[in-house]
Amino acid sequence: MSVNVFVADVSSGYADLMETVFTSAIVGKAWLATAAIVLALVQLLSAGRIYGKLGSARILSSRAAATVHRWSGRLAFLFTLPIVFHCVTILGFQTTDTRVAVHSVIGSVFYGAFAAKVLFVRDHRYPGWVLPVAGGTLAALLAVAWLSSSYWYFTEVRFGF
Amino acid sequence: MPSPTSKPRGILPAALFAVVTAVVVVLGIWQPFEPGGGDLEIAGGGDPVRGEALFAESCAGCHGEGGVGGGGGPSLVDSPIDEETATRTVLAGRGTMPAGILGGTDAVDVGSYVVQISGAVEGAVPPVAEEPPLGPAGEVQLTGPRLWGIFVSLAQPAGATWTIWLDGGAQDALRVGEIPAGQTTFADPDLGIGTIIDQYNRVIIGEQLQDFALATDELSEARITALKALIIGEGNPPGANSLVSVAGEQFAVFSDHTRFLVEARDEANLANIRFHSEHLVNIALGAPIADVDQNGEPTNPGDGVGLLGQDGREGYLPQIDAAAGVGTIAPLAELVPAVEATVADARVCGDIASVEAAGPCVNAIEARSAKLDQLWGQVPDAARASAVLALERP
Ligand code: HEC
Ligand code: HEM
Repeated sequence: MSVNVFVADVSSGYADLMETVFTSAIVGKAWLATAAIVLALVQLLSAGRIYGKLGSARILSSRAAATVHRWSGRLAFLFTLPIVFHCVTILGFQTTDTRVAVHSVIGSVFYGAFAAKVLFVRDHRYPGWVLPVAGGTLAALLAVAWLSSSYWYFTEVRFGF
Repeated sequence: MPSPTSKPRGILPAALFAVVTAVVVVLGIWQPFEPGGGDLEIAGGGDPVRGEALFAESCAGCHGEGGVGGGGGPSLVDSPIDEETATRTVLAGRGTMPAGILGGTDAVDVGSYVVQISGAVEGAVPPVAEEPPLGPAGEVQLTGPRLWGIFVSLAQPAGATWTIWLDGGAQDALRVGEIPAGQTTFADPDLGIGTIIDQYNRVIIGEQLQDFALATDELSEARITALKALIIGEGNPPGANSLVSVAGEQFAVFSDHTRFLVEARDEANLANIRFHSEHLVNIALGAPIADVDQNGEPTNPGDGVGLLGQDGREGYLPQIDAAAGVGTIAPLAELVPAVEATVADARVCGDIASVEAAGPCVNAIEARSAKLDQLWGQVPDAARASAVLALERP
């Protein structure tokens, strides 16, 4: 009984919190995920700059790009935390249809890939191609998680705040 | 720092990846905060009559009135489904149907209604669409936890394609949808504009905005204020909450103490019997709190407002009654006297001399508690249902 009271409190408390800013918890998650995607784009661009792959489009010094890369990455990861708390503990791992199943699997793999990527950043003994591949994979996983949730919600259910 | 010559361990990133992914998946399968999960009684427990009303409010927008399909969701009639599946679908969502539209007993009740209309119950006839008591022309129910949506039902089918507008306040009229000729209902669980009564106080229905066929009585400022206090709560920070939710918290505290009291009896703990009885009295009546058990220290685990209030100060239940329109919330008529009866019993138990003597008063409180929970359970929905505008021909 007391467990149930707490359970009800977590999901409605989460909704209340989100609703201080957005019209519903779902919309709030969808926008947070969108913010993470935008930051992931910044990640790709700043990484490109660090590796000198942006040709003439050099707005930032390589050192500044590294700072931007580090902080946009931290921020993007932070943005996913409130989302994934709701996804995992309240909605759970679901396979009700292909979209939802893909979303649950990719969402989970994202955190595994994130952990591996952090390891590659910290440990310089891996071959040079490993880090960009890990970073690119991470961005791709986030994109799929976003497409299968936020994008679906914005296009199929409702677009707004 | 590892020396530059040492070799990276290829197994480490793979293991890290696998472990973290597995942890997330396992957490997701465990789903510790599943809404309405856990010991939800799903098998055959639902109340289809309540479910029908909930369905009209939350599901008919997509599944059509009576579940016949039409609004983006499939028809639910004539495709037998069992109650567990129906309820789980509501809790978990499916395809484009969002998860958690309803939770807890609401989900079970609506599930059992879906079973009925699906024709899965032998001999069950889809309930005749029994219109709620209507004003002369129909009514508009504001729906959803924050009054974001509307459910329109006309007493007679629309004569032509009728458009629905929201109007009033500082805003221009907003077109929200239409009722096709021959139909009687329209539902949109979320108009996407937030709390409707923040911006509009009138609904107009007709062929054109200018020469409407039906209009509502306007919601007065006072009525809007009352509805907001009742259902939505003041401002945004969670905690500055609606009457219904704050009262719900106090009711939960009351219910907990009934349980504590029963436990005290089972443990034959006289001091605790007296102590928790005092708490029941004070949670129900609020300030000024009484030292019922006469231990020299009046205590109150409630918030001081009390479910009933006292000395001319209105507690939560009378406040809810007033805000919804006195007498509108039917279960309160039984709930208030039941809480009063528990207070009377708790006064006896609070000053009882022995565990044996406490038998009757504790038993009476225990016997009444399920009924109390059940009655309170109906109040929030009934409160929301009071957000209604009567349609009248101009
Ligand atoms: C936003 C629109 C929408 C709302 C609101 C909605 N549904 Fe659905 N519902 C759907 C769609 C779309 C499907 C089909 C999903 C699929 O199978 O891909 C569906 C499927 C279902 C199914 C499964 C049908 C089957 O044949 O297995 C049930 C049961 C159901 N809904 C019940 C409800 C109930 C009860 C409510 C109200 C609490 C509700 N729905 C509210 C859109 C909605
Ligand atoms: C990168 C990580 C993730 C992001 C950015 C993300 C984002 C989102 C968003 C925006 C929604 C839509 C809002 C909603 O329906 O509440 C959503 C829904 C959902 N998420 Fe996630 N999510 C992530 C990871 C996960 C994980 C790890 C799981 C499961 C283990 C998961 C399971 C779900 C489920 C079941 C839904 C509901 C699907 C539906 O009915 O539409 N998500 N997610």
